[in-house]
Formats: sequence, structure tokens, C-alpha cells
Amino acid sequence: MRQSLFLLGEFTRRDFKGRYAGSALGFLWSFVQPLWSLALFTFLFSTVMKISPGIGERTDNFAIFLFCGLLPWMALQEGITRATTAITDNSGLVKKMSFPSGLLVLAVVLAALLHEAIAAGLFLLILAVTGHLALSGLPVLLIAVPLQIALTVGLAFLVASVHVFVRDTAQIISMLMMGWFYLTPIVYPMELVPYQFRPIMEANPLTVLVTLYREAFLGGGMLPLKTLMPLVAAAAISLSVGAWVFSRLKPAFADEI
Amino acid sequence: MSEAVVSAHALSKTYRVFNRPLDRLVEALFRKSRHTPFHALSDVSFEVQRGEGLGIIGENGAGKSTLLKILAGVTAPSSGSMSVARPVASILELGSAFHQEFTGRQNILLNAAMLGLSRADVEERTPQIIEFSELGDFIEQPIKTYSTGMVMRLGFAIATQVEPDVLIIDEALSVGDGYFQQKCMTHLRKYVDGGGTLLICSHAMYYISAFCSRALWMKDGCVEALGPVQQVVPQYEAFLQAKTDRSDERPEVIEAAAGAPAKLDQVRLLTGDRLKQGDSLKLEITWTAENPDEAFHLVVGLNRLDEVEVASFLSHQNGAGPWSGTKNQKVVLEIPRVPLVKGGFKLYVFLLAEDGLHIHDTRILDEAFTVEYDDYPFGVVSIDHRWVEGS
Repeated sequence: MRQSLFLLGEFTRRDFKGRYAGSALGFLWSFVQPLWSLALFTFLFSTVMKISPGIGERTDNFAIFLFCGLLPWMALQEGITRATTAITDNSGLVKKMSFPSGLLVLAVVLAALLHEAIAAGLFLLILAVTGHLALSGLPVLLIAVPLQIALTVGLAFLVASVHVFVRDTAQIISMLMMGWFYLTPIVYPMELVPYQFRPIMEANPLTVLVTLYREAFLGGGMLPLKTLMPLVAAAAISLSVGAWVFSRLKPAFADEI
Repeated sequence: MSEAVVSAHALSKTYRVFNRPLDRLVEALFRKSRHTPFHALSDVSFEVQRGEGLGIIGENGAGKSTLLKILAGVTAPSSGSMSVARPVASILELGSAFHQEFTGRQNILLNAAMLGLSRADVEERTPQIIEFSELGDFIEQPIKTYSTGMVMRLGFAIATQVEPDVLIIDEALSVGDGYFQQKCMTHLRKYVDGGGTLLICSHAMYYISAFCSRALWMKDGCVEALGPVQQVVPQYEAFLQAKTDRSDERPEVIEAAAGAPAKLDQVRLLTGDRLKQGDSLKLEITWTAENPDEAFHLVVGLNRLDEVEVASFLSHQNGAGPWSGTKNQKVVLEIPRVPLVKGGFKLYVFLLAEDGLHIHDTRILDEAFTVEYDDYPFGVVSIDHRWVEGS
């Protein structure tokens, strides 16, 4: 167990560092990327398309509203996308060494969470500087983050192991992720969604996660359990299905890649 | 001492050949057969004691690498069980598991962690590993800048300096410059002498003989022979020779013609079919002549199993014979000290007319004898020689 943690730490570090290995800005890219997305989306959706959070949301500042949603989204997207190729990219290791290969998947998810933590720190700083800081909602993260991790890890295990056998997975995942992003109220408020589509939107576990983040960072409170259910169920299902599929497929990894 | 650190029981590995990768997914998930099986390994059992070296030999595709991969824990056997003492380090094929973008030092940390070392252990051994690898300042450079030899050196340094209980090496000694190879060999020798357990697969019988007390000969995924190196390696070499032999055309042999004046009765080795360099060899040849007054010569040809002609013995050229005077003749060819060093040999015996030209009868001892050895010798024969310094 201790050995696995040590190894997981090394893999995560490798992933974290390896991403910017050889680049001039290095670690600073962790700040630049979320800020760039933020600037781009704000210009596009707020300035050009005149979307504003409006009624029913805790802020009327689009950038702040957007950042709350981007935080969990970026971690989820990065975790899943990079997990897809976590096993296949390390074929040399998987074929030549005996070690728990699940750690490779966990490491990319962990690295994505670290990036999110950095971005979250930056966000809090911005909130403080602009006078929007409200710490009262932050305990909500104690519920939101574990659920987010469970959801991400489960999906990560699933796509990583399936991709070993079906290499189209990476392509499919990048399409699905794009769909998931736009079908979740991240760049627009739920207010703008026509009534008939709202139940579908509310059943989307990511909608729940994004809402939890907004409550957390904008001085809100815990959501009722009924609202939370889609996320809880999705996290539980994805974790158990992902772990089961991974454990079933793992013994064949070395033979396939 | 009799503690089995590696034991394999009825190990089998069946690779499933799938038409489409999707079939493999379906089968792995739902245990529904969708493949054509390929048996890479069938029912392999053996044990290796602590401090023992086991050499795994066999032709390409015999299942050697598959066996080592299973023992290294990289791939799972289809059936059977095994246990390998930990820590176990392995060098499987070339260019070990390194991350190209990371420096040698970072890779040491990662690899040693994967081999099961704690952070403290890794930090303690890193200087030794760097020293053994002789990479110098290159250790701070990314692996992608390394040459093949450098990568191999680092891989070998890590695998040996972590002092594993069991070391598994798959044909990795064949690369690198002579100097480093020698260093590795010295180190492996020390490792085995110091109680380390070594499993090595190689086509170089010299390595096998140098490090291993026992050899496992794999053939078509099965154990063909398992025993002391001195027994199994010659058997394997004889097999390889015979294989070359079979593909060659047999030399034309004239059998006893009907109505020949004499026929060979018996040709046998009095000294047995196993001997060592320096032993004597006696070949007894008997024949029956129609007419006791007629004289005959003998020719004996000594060939390696692959039909390389090694020596010939002609009675009409060295003053022996011709023999006559009785109907039932018996002659013994005696070689006082056999100069052959290793391998299997066959004998051709020709009964010739007095003129030494006409062949009356022929007899072939197909696998007449095998020359065994203690230390693996190079070459075919031992030649008297001396070394002179200066002059």
C-alpha cells in the first residue's frame, strides 16, 4: 500500500512535470490555460452573445459565473481525455514491468485535480481582489470534490481499459466530451434553457456538480438530496462499472498492446 | 539451501488470436470464446533453488520469452500456478521501461519504485546505479538522447543494483560494448555466487554454461529437457546439429553389392557413446570374407552430425593392413586421445578391396558418440599449442 502510494506519487509527478517538460513557461501554463479559456468564453458568450447569468444565479458577473463551471469541467475533461491513453501511452512499462497498472490511470486523474486546485487558488485570489469573496459556501466542496473524483476515476478506468482494445475510443471520447460540455449549463445559465429540456438538463450529473461549485464559491449552501441524486448515482455507477471493467481487462493488457 | 525461490507448476499460456480487437474486448468482459488459440507454453513445471542459475534454451518461438514474461509478472499464465520470491527484477528484451522525456536520474527513481523499492532505498542506491552505469553527466540528460548501449547499461545497472532475490534476463547481454558486457558478466557471476537466483535466456551457450548449473530446454512450448547444464546443453546442441543435418543431402553411400567378396558384420564402439576430450576411443570392426586369402583395407570417416568432415582414417595410407588369412576378421581402430571438444559425431566405416579403391561394404553409425565437457569449449577440436612471449 505504501509502495503503491509512493509509485502513484511518482507517476503523478511524472505526468504533472512531463506535460510541460521542455517548455519555456513550464508550470505557468497551469495558470495561462484556464485564464485563456475564461477570456475567450467571456468575450464570446458575454460580450458578443450577451448572455448574462441573470435571475436564479448567485452572481451577475459572467466571468465569475463561468469560472465556477469551468473548474470542475476542466478537471473532468482533462482527467478522462488523458486517462483514455494512459495505458496505451505507457505500453513500454505495461509490457515490461510488473506493477499495478491502475496507478497510471489514477495518476492522470490526480494530476488533473492538481491543475484544478491551482486554478481554484487563482480563482479565490481573483474573487478576493474584486471583492466577491465569500468563504461560507466552501464546505460544499467537501461533498462536491469526492463525488467528482468518484465520477472521474470510474469513467477514467472505463475508457483507459476499453481504449487498449478499441483504439477508436479516444476519438469517440473527444466527441462525447465536447457534447457533454455544451449540454451542461457552464457557458450559459439554466434560466435560458427552454422548459421542456430542463428535466434532462437536471438529470445530467455534471449540471449538479457545476451547481455545487457555484454554491461553494459564491457563498451558497448545500443542495437538497433530491437535486444531488443524479450526481451521486452517476458517481456510484461509474466507479463500480469502471473498476469492474478495468479489473476484467487488465490481465490482457500486456498481450494486447 | 534447498529453498525454492521460483516455482512453476503446470504453467500454460495460450495466446488468443483474434480477428478483430473488438472480439478480445467482448471475450475479456463476458468470457465468451471468440478466438483461435495459440499454445505458446504448455504444462511447464520446474523449481529453482536460492543461489541457483537456470538457463533457458531453445529455438526462436519455443516459448522462452513467454515463460520469462510470466515469471516476471508482466503477463498472466492461462493456467497453472507459480511463485517467485520478491523482490524480482527483470530485463525483458532491449530498451527497458524508460520514459523518453525524463532524465536518467528520474527514470532510476521511477523504475526502482516499480521494482518495489521504498523512497529511502531508492535514494540510497541511486549513486551506485549511476556509478555502475558509467553514464556520468549523461544521467541528467533525457533518455531520448541516449544511445542503445547507454539505455542498456542503465537498465542493467538498475536491475542488478537493486539487489533482487530473483533476476530475470532475457537475451540482454548481447548488446553493449565488450567492456561493459564483461563487467555485466563479472557482476552476474558475483550475484549468483552471492546467493542470487538467476533466470537467463540466451542463444549463447557460453553464457548459459557460465552462469547456470541447470538448463531448461524449451521446444514448441514444452519442456524438452531439464537437468544439469553439462547434460542438457550438449543434447540441445546435438539437436541443432542434427537439424542442420536433416536439411542437407546425405552423401552417397554404396551398400554391399550382391555377390561382394566380403560383408561388414559388426561395427561398434568399445568405449561407449559418451566421452570427453582426451579419452580414448576404440572402434571394433568385424567382417566376413568369402575367401580367407583375400585381403581388405578399412577406411573410417568421422563427421560431425551436420556432415562437416572432421577426420578420416585410411588403413592403406598409414601402413596398416591389408588384412587377410581368415574368414572372420576383427580389427580395432584406436584413437588414444580424442582431441574433439564437444558435440555429436557419426562414423562412416568402409570395407575396401586390397587396392584401396573399390568399396565392398559400408556401415554408418548415425549418432556414434557425443563428446561432453565441463567448461563450455569453443570450436571443434583441441590443438596442441604453446604461447611464446617476446621472441
